[in-house]
Amino acid sequence: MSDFLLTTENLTKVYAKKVVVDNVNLHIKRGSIYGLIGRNGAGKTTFMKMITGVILQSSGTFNFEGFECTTNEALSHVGALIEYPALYPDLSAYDNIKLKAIAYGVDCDKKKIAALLHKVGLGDVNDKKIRKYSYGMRQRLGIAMALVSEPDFLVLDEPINGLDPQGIAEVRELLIKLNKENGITILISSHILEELAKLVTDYAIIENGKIIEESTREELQSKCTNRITILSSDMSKILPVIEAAGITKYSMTDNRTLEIFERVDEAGEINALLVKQGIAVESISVTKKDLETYFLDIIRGN
Amino acid sequence: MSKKWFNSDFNKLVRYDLFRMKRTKDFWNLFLIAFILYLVCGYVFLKVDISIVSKNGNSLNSLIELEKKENSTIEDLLRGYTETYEYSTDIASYSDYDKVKLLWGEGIYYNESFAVFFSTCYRLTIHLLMIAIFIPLFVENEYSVGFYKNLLNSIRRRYLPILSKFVVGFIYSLIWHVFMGICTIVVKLFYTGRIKWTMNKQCWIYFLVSFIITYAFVCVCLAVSEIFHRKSISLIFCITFSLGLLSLPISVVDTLINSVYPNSDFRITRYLLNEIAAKYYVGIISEFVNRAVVVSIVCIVISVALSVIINLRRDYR
Repeated sequence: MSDFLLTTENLTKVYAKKVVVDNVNLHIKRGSIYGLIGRNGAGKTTFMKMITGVILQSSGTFNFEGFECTTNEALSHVGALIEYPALYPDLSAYDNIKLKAIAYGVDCDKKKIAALLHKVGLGDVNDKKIRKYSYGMRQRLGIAMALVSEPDFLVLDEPINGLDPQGIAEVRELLIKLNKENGITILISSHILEELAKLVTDYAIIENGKIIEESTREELQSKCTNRITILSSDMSKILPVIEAAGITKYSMTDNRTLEIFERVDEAGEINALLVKQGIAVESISVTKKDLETYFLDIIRGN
Repeated sequence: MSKKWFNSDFNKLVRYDLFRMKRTKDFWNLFLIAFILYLVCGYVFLKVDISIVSKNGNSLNSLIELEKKENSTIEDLLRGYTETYEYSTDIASYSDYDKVKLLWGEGIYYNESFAVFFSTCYRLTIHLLMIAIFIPLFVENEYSVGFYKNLLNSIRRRYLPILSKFVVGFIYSLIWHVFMGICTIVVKLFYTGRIKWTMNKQCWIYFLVSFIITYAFVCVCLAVSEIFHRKSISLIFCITFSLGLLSLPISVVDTLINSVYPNSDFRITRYLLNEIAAKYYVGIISEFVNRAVVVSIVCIVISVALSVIINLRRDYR
C-alpha cells in the first residue's frame, strides 16, 4: 500500500482558454491534514472540485488509493464540503443526511444520523428546518454530511469561514479528532492562515493555478520561526562563540549567513558578545515571520 | 443479482429522487391546488351545466323522477335536447372538436361515464399545468442549493443523475394520472351522487395514450430544466407551453407557410404536444391517436437524448 492517499499528475483545468489549474502534481500522505493555501482565484476550489468529481479535468489524472479517477471507487471514499454546505433549506438535518445517505447507498438509520449530528455538535436540533439554522450550524451540518459515507479522505474548502472564534475552535477540535481517532486524511483550504497553522501537517501553496511550494509543518515552521540573521565573513569564529553561549538552534544558510532560532529577543547581547570576541559582524537583524508573512513573501516571489 | 441491482448507482439515484420528491412541499401543494381546480371545474361542468337545462324548463328533480319512472337515464332523456350529443362519445372526430365543446350547457355531462367525463371535461390541461410548475422547481432546486455536487461527488457516470430524473418523471406522470382518476370519481360522486363505469376499448386506449402524452410533457419539462439550469427560464417556458401560449407564435408560422404553399395541409400546431393534449378525448379518430403517440415518443426520445448529451461534459460551477 502506497504512503500516499491521493496523488495527482499534471492535473489541469482550462475554462474558456484560461488555465485555472496548471499541471498540478500533489502528493497527500495517508493520515495527514493537508493545507492548501492560496489567494482568491488561485485555483484551490477548482482543484478540490476536480478531485471530488464535481468538475472534469481538462487534462491529467489523479489516483486515489490506487484507483484511477475515472472509476467510482476513486470517489466512493471521499467526503467533501466545497464552497458552501449543499443543503435543502426546507428539510431538517435528518432528512438532508438521509437524502445523501440514499444517494451514496449507505445504510443510515435514525441512530446513526443522531450520532453524526452529535459528533458535529448538532445533537439538539430535532426537526428544525435548515432555513432556521445559523451560518455556523450549516457549516457543521455540511461537515456531518461529508462524513455520511464514512470517508477515508475529507475535502474541506474554507470550512471555518464565517464562524465565530468558538465555532472555529470547535471545528478545529472536531477535525483533529477525526484525523487522530478515525484516521481520516483531510485536505483543507482556508484564508485564516494562523488557524490553519494550528491544524495542518503538510502544506501546499498554490498561485495562478500552480503549486509553488509543498512542504511539511516542520519545514514550514523552520521557515516561519522568528530568527536572528547574522552576516559575517568570520563564520568559523562565530560558531564556537555561540555554542559556548549555549545556543543550539541555529543553521548556516551559506558560508556568510547564520540564522539563530532561539533567544531572538537577545540580539543585542549576542552582537555584544561577538564584538567582544573581536569578530567582525557585517549586519545583525531580527526577522519575525509568521505563516502569513511567509505566504505573502512567497506569492510576491521573495 | 437483485442485491447488486438494489445497490447499483442508478437505483440509488432513483430512490434519492423519489425520497426528495416525497419530501418536497411543492409536490403536495400542487396536488391540493389541482384538487381544488378539479372541484371548481366539476362544479361548472356538472352543477352549472345541469342548472342551464333546468332553466330551460327541466328541473333536475323532475329529470331524476322521470329517469326512475321510465326506467331510463338522464342521458337518454336529454338526448332530445341536442343533436350534437353523439359527438361527445363514440364517433366524435378531431374536426368535430368545436361541436363537442357546444355540448356544455345541455346537461350532458351530468350523466356521462367516468372515462368520458375524465377526458372531455378535464382533458389534460390542469395536470399539465401542475407538472409545468413542479418539474422546473424539482430539478432546479437541486442545482440552486448545490446538492447536485453531492451526486457528482459519488457518481462518475454523469448521465445517471439525469436518467434517474426521467424514471422519476415516469412515476410522477403515473401518480398524476391516478390522482386525476381519483379526483374525477370524487368530484362526480360529490356533485351528482352517481358514477357510471362504462369502459370500452376506446376508453382504455384513451387512458394509455393520455398517459404517454403526459409522460412526454414531463420529459420536455425535464429537458428544458436540465438544459437551461435556470428556474425562471424553465418555469416560463413550461407554463407557457402547458397553457398553449407557444401555439400562438407557431400558428403565425403556420399562416406564413400556408401563404407560401396555399395547397399544403401541413400545420406545425397539429404536432405540438400541448395542442394534442388539449384536443384529445375518448373516441377521437385513430389518425389523431396515432399522431399523439408518434409525437409523444419523438418528444421523449429527443428530451432524454438532449439532456444526457448536453450534461455529459458539463461542469457544475
